[in-house]
Amino acid sequence: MDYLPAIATLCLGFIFGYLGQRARMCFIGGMRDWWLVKDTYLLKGLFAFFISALIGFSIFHFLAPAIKTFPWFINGGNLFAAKWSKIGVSATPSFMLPVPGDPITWSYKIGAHLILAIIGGLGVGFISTFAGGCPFRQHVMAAEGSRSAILYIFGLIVGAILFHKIIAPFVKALLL
Amino acid sequence: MKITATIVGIVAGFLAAFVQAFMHVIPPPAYGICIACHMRDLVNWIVAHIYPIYGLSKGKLIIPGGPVSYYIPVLTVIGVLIGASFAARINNEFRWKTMRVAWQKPWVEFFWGIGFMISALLMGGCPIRTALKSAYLDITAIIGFFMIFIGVIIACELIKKIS
Amino acid sequence: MADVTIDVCGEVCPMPVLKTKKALENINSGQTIEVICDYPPSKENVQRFVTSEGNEVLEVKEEGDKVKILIKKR
Repeated sequence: MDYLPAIATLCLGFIFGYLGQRARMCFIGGMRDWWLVKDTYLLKGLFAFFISALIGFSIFHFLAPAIKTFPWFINGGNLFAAKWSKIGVSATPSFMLPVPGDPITWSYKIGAHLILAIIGGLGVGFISTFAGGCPFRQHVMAAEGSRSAILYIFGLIVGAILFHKIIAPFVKALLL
Repeated sequence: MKITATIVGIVAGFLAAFVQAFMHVIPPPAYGICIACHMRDLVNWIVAHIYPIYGLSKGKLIIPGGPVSYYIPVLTVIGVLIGASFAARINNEFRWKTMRVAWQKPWVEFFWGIGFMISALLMGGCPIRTALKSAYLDITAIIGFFMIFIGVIIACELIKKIS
Repeated sequence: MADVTIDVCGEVCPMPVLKTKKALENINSGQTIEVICDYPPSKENVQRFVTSEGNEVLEVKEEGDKVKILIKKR
Protein backbone atom coordinates (compact mmCIF):
# COMPACT_ATOMS: atom_id res chain seq x y z
CA MET A 1 0.00 0.00 0.00
CA ASP A 2 1.43 3.27 -1.09
CA TYR A 3 1.09 6.08 1.42
CA LEU A 4 3.20 8.52 -0.52
CA PRO A 5 0.49 10.24 -2.65
CA ALA A 6 -1.74 10.85 0.38
CA ILE A 7 0.98 12.40 2.53
CA ALA A 8 2.42 14.44 -0.34
CA THR A 9 -0.96 15.91 -1.31
CA LEU A 10 -1.74 16.69 2.34
CA CYS A 11 1.45 18.78 2.60
CA LEU A 12 0.80 20.39 -0.79
CA GLY A 13 -2.73 21.33 0.32
CA PHE A 14 -1.40 22.86 3.54
CA ILE A 15 1.13 25.04 1.72
CA PHE A 16 -1.37 26.05 -0.95
CA GLY A 17 -4.05 26.88 1.64
CA TYR A 18 -1.71 29.02 3.72
CA LEU A 19 -0.37 30.99 0.76
CA GLY A 20 -3.80 31.31 -0.82
CA GLN A 21 -5.27 32.86 2.30
CA ARG A 22 -2.50 35.46 2.56
CA ALA A 23 -2.57 36.45 -1.12
CA ARG A 24 -6.37 36.14 -1.78
CA MET A 25 -5.74 33.81 -4.73
CA CYS A 26 -8.63 32.98 -7.07
CA PHE A 27 -8.62 31.87 -10.73
CA ILE A 28 -12.17 32.86 -11.65
CA GLY A 29 -11.59 36.15 -9.83
CA GLY A 30 -8.72 36.91 -12.18
CA MET A 31 -10.92 36.68 -15.26
CA ARG A 32 -13.83 38.50 -13.58
CA ASP A 33 -11.76 41.42 -12.27
CA TRP A 34 -10.09 41.88 -15.64
CA TRP A 35 -13.43 42.03 -17.43
CA LEU A 36 -15.19 44.33 -14.93
CA VAL A 37 -12.53 46.84 -13.86
CA LYS A 38 -9.38 45.95 -15.87
CA ASP A 39 -7.52 44.82 -12.74
CA THR A 40 -4.70 42.39 -13.50
CA TYR A 41 -3.43 41.50 -10.00
CA LEU A 42 -5.03 38.05 -9.89
CA LEU A 43 -4.61 37.40 -13.62
CA LYS A 44 -0.83 37.58 -13.22
CA GLY A 45 -1.10 34.76 -10.69
CA LEU A 46 -2.94 32.61 -13.25
CA PHE A 47 -0.32 33.20 -15.94
CA ALA A 48 2.48 32.51 -13.47
CA PHE A 49 0.84 29.16 -12.61
CA PHE A 50 0.56 28.21 -16.28
CA ILE A 51 4.12 29.10 -17.22
CA SER A 52 5.65 27.59 -14.11
CA ALA A 53 3.79 24.28 -14.66
CA LEU A 54 4.89 24.25 -18.31
CA ILE A 55 8.54 24.74 -17.33
CA GLY A 56 8.24 22.14 -14.57
CA PHE A 57 6.77 19.51 -16.90
CA SER A 58 9.41 20.18 -19.55
CA ILE A 59 12.25 19.73 -17.06
CA PHE A 60 10.81 16.62 -15.40
CA HIS A 61 10.05 15.03 -18.79
CA PHE A 62 13.74 14.16 -19.01
CA LEU A 63 14.25 13.23 -15.36
CA ALA A 64 11.26 11.12 -14.32
CA PRO A 65 9.50 8.21 -16.05
CA ALA A 66 6.09 9.35 -14.83
CA ILE A 67 5.93 12.26 -17.28
CA LYS A 68 6.79 10.41 -20.45
CA THR A 69 3.37 11.32 -21.90
CA PHE A 70 4.13 15.00 -21.56
CA PRO A 71 3.15 16.73 -24.80
CA TRP A 72 -0.21 15.05 -24.63
CA PHE A 73 -1.18 15.76 -28.20
CA ILE A 74 1.97 13.96 -29.40
CA ASN A 75 2.52 11.12 -26.95
CA GLY A 76 -0.68 10.63 -25.03
CA GLY A 77 -3.67 10.23 -27.28
CA ASN A 78 -2.14 7.26 -29.03
CA LEU A 79 -1.66 5.50 -25.68
CA PHE A 80 -5.37 5.50 -24.98
CA ALA A 81 -6.30 4.59 -28.53
CA ALA A 82 -4.08 1.51 -28.09
CA LYS A 83 -5.90 0.56 -24.90
CA TRP A 84 -9.29 0.71 -26.58
CA SER A 85 -8.10 -1.38 -29.52
CA LYS A 86 -7.21 -4.16 -27.05
CA ILE A 87 -10.89 -4.73 -26.35
CA GLY A 88 -11.70 -4.75 -30.01
CA VAL A 89 -12.93 -1.19 -30.46
CA SER A 90 -11.10 0.59 -33.23
CA ALA A 91 -10.19 4.07 -32.13
CA THR A 92 -8.31 6.38 -34.42
CA PRO A 93 -5.38 7.89 -32.55
CA SER A 94 -5.88 11.60 -32.78
CA PHE A 95 -4.33 14.65 -31.22
CA MET A 96 -7.66 15.83 -29.85
CA LEU A 97 -8.32 13.04 -27.33
CA PRO A 98 -8.24 14.59 -23.84
CA VAL A 99 -6.55 13.59 -20.60
CA PRO A 100 -9.07 11.39 -18.78
CA GLY A 101 -10.79 13.27 -16.01
CA ASP A 102 -13.55 10.89 -15.12
CA PRO A 103 -13.38 7.27 -16.31
CA ILE A 104 -17.11 7.14 -16.93
CA THR A 105 -17.31 9.89 -19.52
CA TRP A 106 -14.33 8.66 -21.55
CA SER A 107 -15.33 7.68 -25.06
CA TYR A 108 -13.50 7.12 -28.33
CA LYS A 109 -15.54 9.67 -30.24
CA ILE A 110 -13.91 13.07 -30.42
CA GLY A 111 -17.18 14.94 -31.00
CA ALA A 112 -18.46 13.70 -27.65
CA HIS A 113 -15.47 15.19 -25.84
CA LEU A 114 -15.89 18.55 -27.58
CA ILE A 115 -19.57 18.72 -26.65
CA LEU A 116 -18.80 17.89 -23.01
CA ALA A 117 -16.02 20.47 -22.89
CA ILE A 118 -18.24 23.24 -24.28
CA ILE A 119 -21.28 22.54 -22.11
CA GLY A 120 -19.26 21.87 -18.97
CA GLY A 121 -17.05 24.91 -19.52
CA LEU A 122 -19.97 27.32 -19.91
CA GLY A 123 -21.60 25.86 -16.81
CA VAL A 124 -18.45 26.15 -14.72
CA GLY A 125 -17.82 29.78 -15.70
CA PHE A 126 -21.40 30.88 -15.20
CA ILE A 127 -21.98 29.17 -11.84
CA SER A 128 -18.61 30.08 -10.34
CA THR A 129 -19.07 33.80 -10.95
CA PHE A 130 -22.41 33.78 -9.15
CA ALA A 131 -21.10 31.71 -6.27
CA GLY A 132 -18.29 34.16 -5.64
CA GLY A 133 -15.16 32.48 -6.96
CA CYS A 134 -13.47 29.22 -7.78
CA PRO A 135 -13.86 26.37 -5.23
CA PHE A 136 -10.38 26.98 -3.82
CA ARG A 137 -11.45 30.49 -2.78
CA GLN A 138 -14.64 29.06 -1.22
CA HIS A 139 -12.58 26.64 0.89
CA VAL A 140 -10.40 29.52 2.11
CA MET A 141 -13.50 31.59 2.93
CA ALA A 142 -15.00 28.67 4.83
CA ALA A 143 -11.81 28.58 6.90
CA GLU A 144 -12.29 32.32 7.54
CA GLY A 145 -15.77 31.75 8.91
CA SER A 146 -18.27 32.36 6.12
CA ARG A 147 -21.50 30.37 6.51
CA SER A 148 -22.35 30.48 2.80
CA ALA A 149 -19.06 28.82 1.91
CA ILE A 150 -19.67 25.96 4.36
CA LEU A 151 -22.98 25.23 2.66
CA TYR A 152 -21.22 25.42 -0.71
CA ILE A 153 -18.92 22.59 0.45
CA PHE A 154 -21.96 20.51 1.43
CA GLY A 155 -23.34 21.17 -2.04
CA LEU A 156 -20.11 19.79 -3.56
CA ILE A 157 -20.45 16.59 -1.51
CA VAL A 158 -24.09 16.04 -2.52
CA GLY A 159 -23.28 16.87 -6.14
CA ALA A 160 -20.54 14.22 -6.29
CA ILE A 161 -22.88 11.50 -5.02
CA LEU A 162 -25.68 12.62 -7.39
CA PHE A 163 -23.31 12.62 -10.36
CA HIS A 164 -22.15 9.07 -9.92
CA LYS A 165 -25.54 7.62 -9.23
CA ILE A 166 -27.82 9.38 -11.69
CA ILE A 167 -26.04 11.48 -14.28
CA ALA A 168 -23.07 9.33 -15.24
CA PRO A 169 -25.01 6.29 -16.53
CA PHE A 170 -27.24 8.69 -18.48
CA VAL A 171 -24.30 10.45 -20.14
CA LYS A 172 -22.57 7.14 -20.82
CA ALA A 173 -25.62 5.74 -22.62
CA LEU A 174 -25.93 8.93 -24.65
CA LEU A 175 -22.37 9.26 -25.85
CA LEU A 176 -20.75 5.87 -26.06
CA MET B 1 7.89 39.90 2.55
CA LYS B 2 4.42 40.44 1.14
CA ILE B 3 3.02 37.34 -0.50
CA THR B 4 1.44 38.33 -3.84
CA ALA B 5 -0.63 36.19 -6.16
CA THR B 6 2.27 35.83 -8.62
CA ILE B 7 4.42 34.10 -6.00
CA VAL B 8 1.59 31.71 -5.15
CA GLY B 9 1.17 30.88 -8.85
CA ILE B 10 4.85 30.08 -9.34
CA VAL B 11 5.06 27.89 -6.21
CA ALA B 12 1.83 26.01 -6.94
CA GLY B 13 2.66 25.33 -10.59
CA PHE B 14 6.07 23.95 -9.81
CA LEU B 15 4.85 21.82 -6.90
CA ALA B 16 2.03 20.35 -9.01
CA ALA B 17 4.54 19.14 -11.59
CA PHE B 18 6.90 17.90 -8.85
CA VAL B 19 4.21 15.90 -7.09
CA GLN B 20 3.31 14.08 -10.28
CA ALA B 21 6.93 13.30 -11.20
CA PHE B 22 8.30 12.06 -7.90
CA MET B 23 5.43 11.37 -5.51
CA HIS B 24 3.45 8.82 -7.54
CA VAL B 25 0.26 10.81 -8.01
CA ILE B 26 -0.40 9.00 -11.30
CA PRO B 27 -2.60 7.48 -13.08
CA PRO B 28 -4.52 9.79 -14.28
CA PRO B 29 -1.92 12.20 -15.65
CA ALA B 30 -2.00 15.89 -14.68
CA TYR B 31 -3.67 15.21 -11.32
CA GLY B 32 -1.52 17.26 -8.93
CA ILE B 33 -4.05 19.88 -7.84
CA CYS B 34 -7.79 19.68 -8.36
CA ILE B 35 -10.40 20.60 -5.81
CA ALA B 36 -13.41 19.00 -7.53
CA CYS B 37 -11.75 15.69 -8.46
CA HIS B 38 -10.02 15.17 -5.13
CA MET B 39 -13.20 15.99 -3.24
CA ARG B 40 -15.01 13.41 -5.40
CA ASP B 41 -12.32 10.81 -4.61
CA LEU B 42 -12.60 11.39 -0.86
CA VAL B 43 -16.41 11.32 -0.83
CA ASN B 44 -16.64 8.16 -2.95
CA TRP B 45 -14.03 6.38 -0.82
CA ILE B 46 -15.90 7.14 2.40
CA VAL B 47 -19.34 6.24 1.02
CA ALA B 48 -18.13 3.01 -0.62
CA HIS B 49 -16.64 1.83 2.64
CA ILE B 50 -19.84 2.45 4.57
CA TYR B 51 -22.30 1.12 1.98
CA PRO B 52 -20.41 -1.36 -0.21
CA ILE B 53 -23.30 -1.48 -2.66
CA TYR B 54 -22.32 2.02 -3.87
CA GLY B 55 -19.20 0.86 -5.63
CA LEU B 56 -20.15 -2.63 -6.78
CA SER B 57 -19.94 -3.09 -10.51
CA LYS B 58 -19.98 -6.55 -12.12
CA GLY B 59 -19.25 -8.11 -8.76
CA LYS B 60 -16.07 -6.15 -8.02
CA LEU B 61 -15.68 -3.18 -5.71
CA ILE B 62 -14.36 -0.24 -7.67
CA ILE B 63 -14.23 3.28 -6.36
CA PRO B 64 -15.51 5.65 -9.09
CA GLY B 65 -12.74 8.18 -9.52
CA GLY B 66 -9.02 8.40 -10.08
CA PRO B 67 -7.24 5.05 -9.76
CA VAL B 68 -4.60 6.57 -7.49
CA SER B 69 -7.24 6.89 -4.74
CA TYR B 70 -8.17 3.22 -4.69
CA TYR B 71 -6.51 2.20 -1.42
CA ILE B 72 -5.93 5.55 0.26
CA PRO B 73 -7.62 8.70 -1.09
CA VAL B 74 -5.72 11.87 -1.87
CA LEU B 75 -6.08 14.38 0.96
CA THR B 76 -5.64 17.78 -0.70
CA VAL B 77 -8.96 19.16 0.52
CA ILE B 78 -8.23 18.48 4.19
CA GLY B 79 -4.81 20.10 3.81
CA VAL B 80 -6.30 23.26 2.26
CA LEU B 81 -8.85 23.64 5.07
CA ILE B 82 -6.24 23.18 7.80
CA GLY B 83 -3.70 25.49 6.15
CA ALA B 84 -6.18 28.28 5.49
CA SER B 85 -7.66 28.25 9.00
CA PHE B 86 -4.12 28.24 10.42
CA ALA B 87 -3.30 31.35 8.38
CA ALA B 88 -6.56 33.07 9.35
CA ARG B 89 -6.08 32.50 13.05
CA ILE B 90 -2.47 33.67 13.05
CA ASN B 91 -3.43 36.99 11.46
CA ASN B 92 -6.67 37.49 13.38
CA GLU B 93 -8.91 37.42 10.34
CA PHE B 94 -11.37 34.79 11.55
CA ARG B 95 -14.95 35.99 12.05
CA TRP B 96 -18.35 34.37 11.54
CA LYS B 97 -20.15 36.18 8.73
CA THR B 98 -23.12 35.71 6.42
CA MET B 99 -23.37 37.25 2.97
CA ARG B 100 -26.06 39.83 2.29
CA VAL B 101 -26.31 39.72 -1.50
CA ALA B 102 -29.41 37.90 -2.76
CA TRP B 103 -27.66 35.28 -4.87
CA GLN B 104 -25.02 34.48 -2.28
CA LYS B 105 -27.22 33.60 0.68
CA PRO B 106 -26.44 30.22 2.29
CA TRP B 107 -29.30 28.19 0.83
CA VAL B 108 -28.72 29.48 -2.71
CA GLU B 109 -25.01 28.64 -2.43
CA PHE B 110 -25.98 25.02 -1.72
CA PHE B 111 -27.45 24.76 -5.21
CA TRP B 112 -24.50 26.55 -6.80
CA GLY B 113 -22.35 23.85 -5.19
CA ILE B 114 -24.35 20.98 -6.74
CA GLY B 115 -24.41 22.62 -10.17
CA PHE B 116 -20.68 23.36 -10.07
CA MET B 117 -19.69 19.80 -9.17
CA ILE B 118 -21.79 18.31 -11.98
CA SER B 119 -20.44 20.77 -14.57
CA ALA B 120 -16.86 20.29 -13.45
CA LEU B 121 -17.04 16.49 -13.59
CA LEU B 122 -18.58 16.65 -17.07
CA MET B 123 -15.75 18.89 -18.19
CA GLY B 124 -12.92 16.92 -16.62
CA GLY B 125 -11.72 19.12 -13.77
CA CYS B 126 -12.07 22.36 -11.88
CA PRO B 127 -10.55 25.58 -13.34
CA ILE B 128 -7.18 24.92 -11.68
CA ARG B 129 -6.86 21.47 -13.22
CA THR B 130 -7.97 22.83 -16.62
CA ALA B 131 -5.04 25.25 -16.44
CA LEU B 132 -2.75 22.35 -15.49
CA LYS B 133 -4.01 20.23 -18.39
CA SER B 134 -3.43 23.20 -20.71
CA ALA B 135 0.16 23.34 -19.46
CA TYR B 136 0.33 19.60 -20.24
CA LEU B 137 -0.54 20.63 -23.83
CA ASP B 138 -3.94 19.00 -24.19
CA ILE B 139 -5.92 20.72 -26.94
CA THR B 140 -9.39 19.86 -25.66
CA ALA B 141 -8.49 21.44 -22.31
CA ILE B 142 -7.41 24.68 -24.00
CA ILE B 143 -10.79 24.85 -25.74
CA GLY B 144 -12.48 24.21 -22.38
CA PHE B 145 -10.50 27.03 -20.77
CA PHE B 146 -11.80 29.50 -23.33
CA MET B 147 -15.33 28.26 -22.72
CA ILE B 148 -14.89 29.02 -19.01
CA PHE B 149 -13.79 32.55 -19.92
CA ILE B 150 -16.88 33.06 -22.10
CA GLY B 151 -19.12 31.76 -19.29
CA VAL B 152 -17.57 34.27 -16.88
CA ILE B 153 -18.19 37.12 -19.36
CA ILE B 154 -21.87 36.18 -19.74
CA ALA B 155 -22.35 36.06 -15.97
CA CYS B 156 -20.58 39.42 -15.49
CA GLU B 157 -22.89 41.14 -17.98
CA LEU B 158 -25.88 39.64 -16.17
CA ILE B 159 -24.61 40.88 -12.79
CA LYS B 160 -24.10 44.38 -14.18
CA LYS B 161 -27.72 44.44 -15.36
CA ILE B 162 -29.19 43.12 -12.10
CA SER B 163 -27.45 45.36 -9.60
CA MET C 1 -17.88 65.21 5.45
CA ALA C 2 -18.16 63.19 2.35
CA ASP C 3 -20.70 63.86 -0.37
CA VAL C 4 -21.68 60.24 -0.93
CA THR C 5 -21.47 57.37 1.54
CA ILE C 6 -21.51 53.73 0.46
CA ASP C 7 -21.96 50.95 2.99
CA VAL C 8 -20.82 47.56 1.74
CA CYS C 9 -20.46 45.64 4.99
CA GLY C 10 -21.18 41.95 4.48
CA GLU C 11 -20.56 41.96 0.72
CA VAL C 12 -17.64 40.26 -0.95
CA CYS C 13 -15.89 40.83 -4.26
CA PRO C 14 -17.03 41.97 -6.75
CA MET C 15 -19.77 44.06 -5.15
CA PRO C 16 -17.72 46.76 -3.30
CA VAL C 17 -15.59 47.60 -6.34
CA LEU C 18 -18.63 47.63 -8.66
CA LYS C 19 -20.62 49.98 -6.43
CA THR C 20 -17.62 52.30 -5.99
CA LYS C 21 -17.13 52.39 -9.75
CA LYS C 22 -20.79 53.28 -10.36
CA ALA C 23 -20.73 56.03 -7.73
CA LEU C 24 -17.51 57.48 -9.14
CA GLU C 25 -19.19 57.86 -12.53
CA ASN C 26 -22.18 59.69 -11.07
CA ILE C 27 -20.39 62.48 -9.16
CA ASN C 28 -18.44 65.51 -10.37
CA SER C 29 -14.71 66.01 -10.22
CA GLY C 30 -13.45 67.16 -6.85
CA GLN C 31 -16.22 65.56 -4.77
CA THR C 32 -15.55 62.88 -2.19
CA ILE C 33 -16.93 59.40 -1.51
CA GLU C 34 -16.72 57.49 1.75
CA VAL C 35 -16.73 53.68 1.59
CA ILE C 36 -17.41 51.62 4.73
CA CYS C 37 -16.38 47.99 4.46
CA ASP C 38 -15.44 45.19 6.82
CA TYR C 39 -13.83 42.57 4.58
CA PRO C 40 -10.02 42.79 4.27
CA PRO C 41 -9.65 41.81 0.59
CA SER C 42 -12.24 44.36 -0.53
CA LYS C 43 -10.33 47.05 1.38
CA GLU C 44 -7.22 46.29 -0.71
CA ASN C 45 -9.22 45.88 -3.94
CA VAL C 46 -10.94 49.28 -3.62
CA GLN C 47 -7.70 51.12 -2.92
CA ARG C 48 -5.93 49.44 -5.84
CA PHE C 49 -8.86 50.17 -8.18
CA VAL C 50 -9.22 53.88 -7.42
CA THR C 51 -5.51 54.67 -7.53
CA SER C 52 -5.14 52.91 -10.88
CA GLU C 53 -7.69 55.33 -12.36
CA GLY C 54 -5.92 58.42 -11.04
CA ASN C 55 -8.15 59.23 -8.07
CA GLU C 56 -6.77 60.03 -4.62
CA VAL C 57 -7.19 58.16 -1.37
CA LEU C 58 -7.41 60.87 1.30
CA GLU C 59 -7.49 58.80 4.46
CA VAL C 60 -8.10 55.30 5.75
CA LYS C 61 -9.67 55.07 9.24
CA GLU C 62 -10.08 51.84 11.20
CA GLU C 63 -12.81 51.63 13.86
CA GLY C 64 -12.93 48.20 15.42
CA ASP C 65 -13.98 45.81 12.67
CA LYS C 66 -15.02 48.37 10.07
CA VAL C 67 -12.75 50.41 7.84
CA LYS C 68 -13.69 53.79 6.35
CA ILE C 69 -11.92 54.94 3.18
CA LEU C 70 -12.23 58.52 1.94
CA ILE C 71 -11.73 58.96 -1.81
CA LYS C 72 -11.54 62.14 -3.88
CA LYS C 73 -12.27 62.12 -7.58
CA ARG C 74 -9.60 63.71 -9.74
